Amino acid sequence: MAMLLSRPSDRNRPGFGIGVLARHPMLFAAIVLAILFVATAPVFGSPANLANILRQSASILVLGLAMALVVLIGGIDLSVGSVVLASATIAGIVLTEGFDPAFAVLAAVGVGCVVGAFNAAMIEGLGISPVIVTLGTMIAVRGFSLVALGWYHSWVEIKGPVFSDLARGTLAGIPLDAIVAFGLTVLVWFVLTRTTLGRAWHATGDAPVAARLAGLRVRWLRAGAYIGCGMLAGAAGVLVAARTGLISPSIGQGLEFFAIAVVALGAGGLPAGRLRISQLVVGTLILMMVFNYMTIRGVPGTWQTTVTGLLLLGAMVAGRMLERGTTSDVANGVAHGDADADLSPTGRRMVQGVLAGATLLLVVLFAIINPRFATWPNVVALVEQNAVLAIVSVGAMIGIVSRSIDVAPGSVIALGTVAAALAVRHGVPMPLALVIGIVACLAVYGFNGIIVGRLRLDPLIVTLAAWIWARGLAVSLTNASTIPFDPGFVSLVNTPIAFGFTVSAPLIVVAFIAGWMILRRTALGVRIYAIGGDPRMVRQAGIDEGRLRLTILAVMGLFTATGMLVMLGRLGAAAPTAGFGLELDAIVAVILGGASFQGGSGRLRDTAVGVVFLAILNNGLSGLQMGDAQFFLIKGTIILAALPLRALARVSVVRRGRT
Amino acid sequence: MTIDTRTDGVAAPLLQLTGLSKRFPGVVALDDVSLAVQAGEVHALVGQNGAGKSTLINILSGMLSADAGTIHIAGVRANIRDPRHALSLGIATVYQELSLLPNLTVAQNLALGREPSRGGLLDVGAMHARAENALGRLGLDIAPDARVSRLSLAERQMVEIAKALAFNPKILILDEPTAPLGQRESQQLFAAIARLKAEGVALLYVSHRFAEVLALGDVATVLRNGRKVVTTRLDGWSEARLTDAMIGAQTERYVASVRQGRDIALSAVDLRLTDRVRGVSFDVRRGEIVALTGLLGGGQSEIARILGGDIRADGGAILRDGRAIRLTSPSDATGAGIALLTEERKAESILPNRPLRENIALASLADRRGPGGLVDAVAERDVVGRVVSDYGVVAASLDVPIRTLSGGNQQKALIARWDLADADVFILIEPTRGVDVGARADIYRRLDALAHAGKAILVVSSDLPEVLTLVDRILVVREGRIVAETKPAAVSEDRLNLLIQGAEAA
Repeated sequence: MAMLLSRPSDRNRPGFGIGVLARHPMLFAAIVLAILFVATAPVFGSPANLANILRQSASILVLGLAMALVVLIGGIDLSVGSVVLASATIAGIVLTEGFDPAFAVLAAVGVGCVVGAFNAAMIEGLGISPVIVTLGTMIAVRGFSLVALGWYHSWVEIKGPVFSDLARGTLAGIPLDAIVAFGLTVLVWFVLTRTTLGRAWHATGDAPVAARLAGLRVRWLRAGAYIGCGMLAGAAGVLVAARTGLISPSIGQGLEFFAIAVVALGAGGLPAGRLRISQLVVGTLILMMVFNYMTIRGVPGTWQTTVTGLLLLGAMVAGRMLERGTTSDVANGVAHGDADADLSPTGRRMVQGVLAGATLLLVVLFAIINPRFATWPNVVALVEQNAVLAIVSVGAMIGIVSRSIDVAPGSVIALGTVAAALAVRHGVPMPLALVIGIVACLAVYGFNGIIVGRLRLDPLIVTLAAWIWARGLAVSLTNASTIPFDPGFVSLVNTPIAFGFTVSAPLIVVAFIAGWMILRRTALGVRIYAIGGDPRMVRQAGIDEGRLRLTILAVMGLFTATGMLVMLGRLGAAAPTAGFGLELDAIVAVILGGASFQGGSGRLRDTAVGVVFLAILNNGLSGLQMGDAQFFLIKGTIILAALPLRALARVSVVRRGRT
Repeated sequence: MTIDTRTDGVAAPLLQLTGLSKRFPGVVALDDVSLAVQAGEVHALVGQNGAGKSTLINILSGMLSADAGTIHIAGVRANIRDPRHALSLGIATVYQELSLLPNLTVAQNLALGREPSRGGLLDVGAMHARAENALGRLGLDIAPDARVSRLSLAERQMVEIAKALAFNPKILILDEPTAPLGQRESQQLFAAIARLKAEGVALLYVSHRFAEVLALGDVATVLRNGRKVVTTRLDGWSEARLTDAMIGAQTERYVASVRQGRDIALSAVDLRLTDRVRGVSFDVRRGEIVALTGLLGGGQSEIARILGGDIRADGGAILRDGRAIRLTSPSDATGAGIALLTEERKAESILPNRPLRENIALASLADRRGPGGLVDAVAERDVVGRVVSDYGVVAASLDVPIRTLSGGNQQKALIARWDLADADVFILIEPTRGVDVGARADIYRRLDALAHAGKAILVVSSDLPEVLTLVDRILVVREGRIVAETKPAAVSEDRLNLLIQGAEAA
């Protein structure tokens, strides 16, 4: 028997030094950046500044650990930023009520644990995609926190021994919160590399089916990772609370994306089953060094978001380039689909029936609570308010069916309106300015399409990067202010043409008809369903997959651009905050309508029902004159309540009981 | 004894391969293979699993690129870049695993990639007409607007063939096209092949069924271990001669040992699963190897997956050492000492990016768990190192990702995984799929040793030579039922084939 097996001790490792750097390109990048920064801004290297970087890194590092756990098992958690707010708020309230600081820390981590357990139950218990679930909890938990903060006049103070030590204390010159973060990092590293739990998590992430057949309880393991993620996010909330000292509603906003960014920056992607904690540390250091350097060089803070998004994208692209040709990666691809999402015809009818019933129930409910709900002017308002959502949902539907999910339309719309408004401000004639806005939208989609198509990167991550950088760019370009747009166009869009409806209503109809034509009456439509069903078959049929992805994203861009025009007209101005949360509404409408998050199935008319449901919800809630906090809370809760309908209606032909 | 067919025709052959080679980590899949196919000729490709047939097909269809060698089509050098390029060169392939999209209709599947359009819109009428035409050429009565998910396996296979024909290929590759087909569909296919021959299409035909090869083939190329053994006209050849050429004088041939079944380790009692499994009962004893065999889609792998806890049965009982057990998940099965290795090794068994060591240790982690869930890394290296050398797993070190190993070494490592976990019942579906011949004998020997050590082994295999050499008892499954039981000594390969095909072929 031929045996080439050498002893483990003499396995051929390249020598330390160059070899290590070659195998860890991001570490190399971090060192180069550090040298570059010190060379161009000597103050960057001062001990005080280094301590500052460590201090700034602490909470992001812990949040990165939280994200790393779920990324490792092939999931994602978008609610960690909201958990930070919730945990900081609870800590503040507990302190304000005069309890022991230790109890405040416990309560803060406990909140994270509860949210994590809820996410785990929805994702692993009901089999709903983690993207959808955690987007829902992101809204609901933020709403919950804001309501709680509201009882304390929207801010609570953090004071007391433990927290002030964390914020100001040092040990041998090293900030205490950095030491805590480092301790947690070592703990997580230890669990992942030295325990059976860590082994099982790696196995689950690398090949869930194989892990399951090897006897691991994959669902419980993944659920545990979501709970661990929630607890670590709660711990990050404690660090944030200590550092800020004053808890206000803006805390934690967008932090989930920083958490994803540091993971992806270090690992060059979101590699399930292969993530290393050292990579996360390097990613965090890179991001925080860049932020710190930008502050030193006097770059406005608003640009940080843009840079984060672009860094994230750059790291993903670099990671894929380096990986090319060296691995035959079976597990890579979209890792965030739900596992058994095929609805049987009966199941689909059930979903339709239940959703239609729920919609009717909402109508009745709102009509009883609010007498003005069931009036014609309100119906008109309902349609007008939700025109952008309806139009964007058609694009979202195409994206989900073709497994090219897009989380960026809200940000792209903001960027488009800003581009158009800035053009007008600089004396460009109005029609041309609109063209510039449209081109800006299409350019982002084209850019994403080329990256997704050519490099085969997960569309979720690519559009997530765009979600960050396009929004950041919109904010930076306007200095976070609103720019009015050409009044002629605004009055044109807002003039009623029939039955009180403006041009928005017919545009919705046109968008749906166009979407239906594309899906059912063009060659592209056949390919959209095909690539969503199984991309390999599309390649076998001789279709250029990359070009098809680009085409699909370009078409989605057209719907987003149309939505941008309506948004611009309705707002009468370019607001960098426009369309925030629009992507979630659009995706939820499509999923509620019965399309599978796994792609390949779904009908546009079902999406229409989902849109109607959300539109009535939006309109009915805003008619009740409630604050943002209650609105977030109720809406998030109703969406989260509606999702299991779909999961429960799932009737599969061959039941493959997953553990 | 190589007969050079190139001198037969005056014109250049339609397809000519010269010196084609392809290596994968740890294995040379194709080694300097040359062959030529003339227009209007059926060229059979014969070889055992792992002989290099699939690799050759994948290179021709553009799914893989060769490391060395050239391809000429009608005398013109072709450098096949991707599947699209292969199709544009006139090479269409019917793959062994079906490549239809179940969520689309038959017509949409047939049109995919070349959808008829009029004024930018899909011409649904033309699409359906084209599909009807393509189905009609094979004599099929399938509605073009039927969803593929509603079709039977045999119907899907015929649609698959219709899809390849719809490209009007000059060169058609058929990889085990009759595997899921019944007698009637097979006859329809053979008639279509005769017509294609008459039209001057060159056919590359891969089949394990030598009767088909001899009836249809003009020329055959025999591959063994990635190398060409012979290319020959088939006049005057018998099945026995083909078998000899295919198997050759193997250096390491597995010879079955004498085994004695002891007490019953696992019993299936009246298992049912929708229309796939319809009341199946049998026992597997310690110390014996039992095979479930039958046509593709006959229900054998569902039975194995039920016993491994992967699928929940609709009805019936499972007894382990005589006691009824409930299997609601694979962890229930592994808890009862039942190990399942499926035919989808890459997708369902290995952790591709994790080290060999972790892959082998996976099922027995709990045995070496210290306080606080700590992995005893020293003990693990020790025991894993020992089974790796016992099983003859060839790897650069224990720390290389398992995906870099050859299929045979992966499979040995996976059996070692369950041996280390001290499983009592081994269930293996197609245990040597994608495994080269040398490693195959190793795997048979390991399974034999496990049986001698008192393990009960159930193998699902459609590889008849494997079934006949490896096992003690053969259970033939057809349409979800066990229709016959026999022993290797009591049955020839032909006879077993007839049992599998059932009344249709009898």
